[in-house]
Amino acid sequence: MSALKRHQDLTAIWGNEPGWRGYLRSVNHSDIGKRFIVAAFVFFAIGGVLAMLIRAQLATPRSAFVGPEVYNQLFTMHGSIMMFLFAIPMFEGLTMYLLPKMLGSRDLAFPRLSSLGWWCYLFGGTIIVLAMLAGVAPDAGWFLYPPLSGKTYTPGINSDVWLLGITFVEISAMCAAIEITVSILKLRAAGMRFDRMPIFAWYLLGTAGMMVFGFPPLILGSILLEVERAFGWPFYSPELGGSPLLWQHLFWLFGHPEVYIIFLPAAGAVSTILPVMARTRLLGYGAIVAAVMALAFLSFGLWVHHMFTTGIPHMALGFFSAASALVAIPTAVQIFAWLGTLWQGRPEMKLPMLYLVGFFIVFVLGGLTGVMLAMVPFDAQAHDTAFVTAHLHYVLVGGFVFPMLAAAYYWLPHITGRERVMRVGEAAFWLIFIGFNLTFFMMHLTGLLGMPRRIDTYPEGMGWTWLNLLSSVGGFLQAFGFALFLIDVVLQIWLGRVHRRNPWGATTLEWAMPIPSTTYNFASLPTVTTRDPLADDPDLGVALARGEGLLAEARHGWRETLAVDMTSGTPEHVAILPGNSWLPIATAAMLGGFFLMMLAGLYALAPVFLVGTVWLGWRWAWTNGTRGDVGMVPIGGGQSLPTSFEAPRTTGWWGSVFALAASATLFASLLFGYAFLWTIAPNWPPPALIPPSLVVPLLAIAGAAAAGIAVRAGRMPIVLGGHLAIVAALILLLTTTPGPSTHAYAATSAALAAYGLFHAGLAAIMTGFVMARAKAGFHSAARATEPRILRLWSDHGAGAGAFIALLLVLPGWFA
Amino acid sequence: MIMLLRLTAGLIGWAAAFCLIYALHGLGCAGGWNMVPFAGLSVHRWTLLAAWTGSLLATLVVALILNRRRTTPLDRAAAALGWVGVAATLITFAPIAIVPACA
Amino acid sequence: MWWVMLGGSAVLAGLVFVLLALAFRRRDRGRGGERTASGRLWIGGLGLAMPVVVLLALVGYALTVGIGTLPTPDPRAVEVRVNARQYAWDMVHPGGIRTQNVLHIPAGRPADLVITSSDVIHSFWIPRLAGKMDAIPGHTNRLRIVADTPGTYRGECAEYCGVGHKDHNFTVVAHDAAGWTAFTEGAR
Repeated sequence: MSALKRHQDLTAIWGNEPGWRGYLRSVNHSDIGKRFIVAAFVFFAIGGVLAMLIRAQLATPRSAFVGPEVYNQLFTMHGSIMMFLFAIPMFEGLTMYLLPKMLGSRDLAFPRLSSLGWWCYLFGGTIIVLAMLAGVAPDAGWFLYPPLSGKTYTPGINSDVWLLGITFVEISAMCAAIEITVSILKLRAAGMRFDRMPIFAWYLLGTAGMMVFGFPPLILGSILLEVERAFGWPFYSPELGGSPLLWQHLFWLFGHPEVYIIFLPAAGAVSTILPVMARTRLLGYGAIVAAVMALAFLSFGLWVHHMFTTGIPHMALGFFSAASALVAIPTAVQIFAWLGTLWQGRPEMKLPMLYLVGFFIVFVLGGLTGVMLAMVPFDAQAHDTAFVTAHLHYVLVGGFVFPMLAAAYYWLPHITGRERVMRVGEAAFWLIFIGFNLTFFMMHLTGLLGMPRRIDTYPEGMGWTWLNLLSSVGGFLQAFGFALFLIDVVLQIWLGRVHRRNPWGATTLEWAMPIPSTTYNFASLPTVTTRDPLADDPDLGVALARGEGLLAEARHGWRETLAVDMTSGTPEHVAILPGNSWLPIATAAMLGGFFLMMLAGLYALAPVFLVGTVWLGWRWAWTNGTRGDVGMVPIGGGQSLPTSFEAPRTTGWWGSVFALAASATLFASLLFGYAFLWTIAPNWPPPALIPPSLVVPLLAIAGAAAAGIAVRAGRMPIVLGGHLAIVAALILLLTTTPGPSTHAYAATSAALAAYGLFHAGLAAIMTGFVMARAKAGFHSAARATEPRILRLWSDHGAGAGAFIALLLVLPGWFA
Repeated sequence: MIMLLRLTAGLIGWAAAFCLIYALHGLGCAGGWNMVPFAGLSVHRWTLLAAWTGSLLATLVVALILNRRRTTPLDRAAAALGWVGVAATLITFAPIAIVPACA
Repeated sequence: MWWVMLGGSAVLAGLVFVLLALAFRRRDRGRGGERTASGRLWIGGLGLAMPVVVLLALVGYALTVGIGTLPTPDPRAVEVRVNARQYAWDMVHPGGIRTQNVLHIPAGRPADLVITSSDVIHSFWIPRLAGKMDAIPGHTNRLRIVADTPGTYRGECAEYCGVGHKDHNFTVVAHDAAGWTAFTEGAR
């Protein structure tokens, strides 16, 4: 088969249909990744305009440019947009685009999930921006502390926009987290052992793992706050046994890891680009992997450092203070590994390197002020002043925006296939770099002079006037810099000359393909024996295009890629990925309908959309699989492997494991909330407890035991009955629970019961699905993936349901 | 899978210790254990000291197990992370020894 | 404390920047062939050992300083209850003297403030006297302040609390011994 014929065959399988239909139905990772990047940049521009308005307001004392109502929306939206609609989606887009290419795969593990994430992000972000244009944007600060964000003090829908819009966008973050984790673990090139993975993949593995455990607390906190606002369940209201501190714990339990979730992918880009620019290899691969793992864990141990002034006992502050200092060490390890790499190589000041130098300077300064703030006595002084604003911009812009700009210039030729024109990028760099330092270095000083955050005007004669003016000038310089960057990119797309392959002489697999890349990435899949495949064989890309690798044959219209054993990289099975589909956009629209109904206060209509979502989910899963055994298929090189229809541990199984891990984290956060309110919140004990009952726990435990045993024996009707028993027990429990709006005890109890109901109900639906699929002929002794996946969900639903039923009746027994 | 567990074992130990000690500290302050004297210190502080020592021993055992195999770069990274777990447990909870518990 | 951290930071930042600049300078000296840097020196020494030493010293120091500011029982301390609301500060002094937006304390003696809020979260901050303490509805926090010299000090709300946040300020009057007696006598 000629290379051209192979290209045509593969394009027919992997490409999009023409026109809008193709756009709406595409699940291709390159498409989705590019869309994320473009949309994130648009949101960055919107957030940037808000920042300019803020700086215009603060440029002079006693400014009357906007009033406090508008100003409060400005800074709330600036923070929220930059965090949730720019930083996270930007790295998700870069990752979705690059990761399969770097790992030697043709797509991510769950293509339709990437597409669902994209539409959720687009719809959620649009809701938030439209709300801002309508003048009802959130205005309680980007961390939305209740009671200020609660119904009493924010009666409009401002806070609801934040809670519902951001939660909608979080769905896309959770999709991405699961997708990235499973793709790195399973979909790699043959022979790519763990220690041969590109360092970028390690960073992303750490990041995605953190997202799996970091986002659920925020999602839970948002759900609870929205339920409090909509239905009056007093989770955060102290007069009814709630506590505003619970929100702070849940928010920062997400919020601090979030900083590293943003930083790690950017650091991964640095670790990838820097050695290429220095024409050498990265120093200390193992040490960097260890540093990434350490960061991923340690960053969960310091959330309270955002709450140093809330009156938490000094010993607990000591734990968090020590952990905050510890977390600087893995960062230092990376910084010095990078410096050592530069010393080892012969660095060239190409454009990406220039941005990396900017990253070094800004980020190191931000890190050092961070260590200062980690010290309790100093933090007590500087907390909530412009010093903190300066610090966080040094860390986030230094640690994310500068590396992303370097990454943009490094990988743009890959996306456009063209060279850049003129030296606009250098000019943009100097504008951004000088403008940034002018803005935020001055804010260190105004902060130390006592200027608080979030004030819309300030009097003269405080010594802040000149510094603020300089900050504003710097801010506008930056804006010009970013505009110039955008112009540069557009010029490159229109006017750049076509570029040869691998312009930087890089050694990672994403350059072993023609640029711009094809829809299927590799015409045949590489086998790697070292960490730098292109250094061993610079002509690897040509060989792969000629079909000299694995899975070179286009057959049955299947989208095939290789799944490997996660440690050794030995080929395990052929993953057959789903093709273009309406389901992602339809599901996102259905979810969007749910969120819009909640926002509009039409609570009776909202469940209709949830039912619709379940129906679409059923259809989604139904399109997988085959009705006949396929057996082993040849993959080239004389080897044969089973397909994902008949493999024991498919990507779907692994995806379920991580989805359940995320759900379990949400459950653990809810349990923490229950215990926290019980011990810390005022106005406890509650007026009435759930009455002691034997029927509820016994029914639930019996149902759980039946489901657990039967799911292993393959007796699906009994599994279904077991879950229905749990559902019945929990509904019975809810009927005896005091009204959830009377006290936080009743509210948290009802929330726990709702969690159990959700998972037992979901397991029941999935059992029904597996029964229907078996009847329709999708299962056989070989094709047994779906019952295996059901076992995970059934066990989780049964365990959680029984545990909750027992836990909630216990206080009544002991009272 | 085993390799991932090896890489994270030391830090999982630290994370478990963190949950345990932070919970005990909060419960103790809420329940007034710090007011109950026992053998020169409060019951609260004895509890925390015991939890700290136990966590240190547990992470130490994990580190020693990980340290037995150091062939590939990832084995060495796992062993190093085992020691990171011990050091992080030692440092993070050092305030137990020196700082007033519930003030 | 501040000067130690500033000096230390400047030295560390300087070190990183000099190493960065030298990496580019070395290129020009044009030695051929592959070079290898020592992982032990760069990662073990500079990346690991140095920050461990610096940070441990700093944390220990900060914790000790922090313990010194805790409100330990003191017979000389006066207690003032502070309630924050949108957008005012209500103080109740010893002897039941109530004021709004003005806090009276004796100079040279510790004053323990018992801080809470009746609506949203605020934060009590007198920049020249002490660190912040949040005023949280449903919770009370204690903050000890000591004004060494008599005079007036400016105080403000340091946690964003709504539309009137920026004007949510108060004044602190630190009396000398005679002035304090007069103030407390004034109650009767």
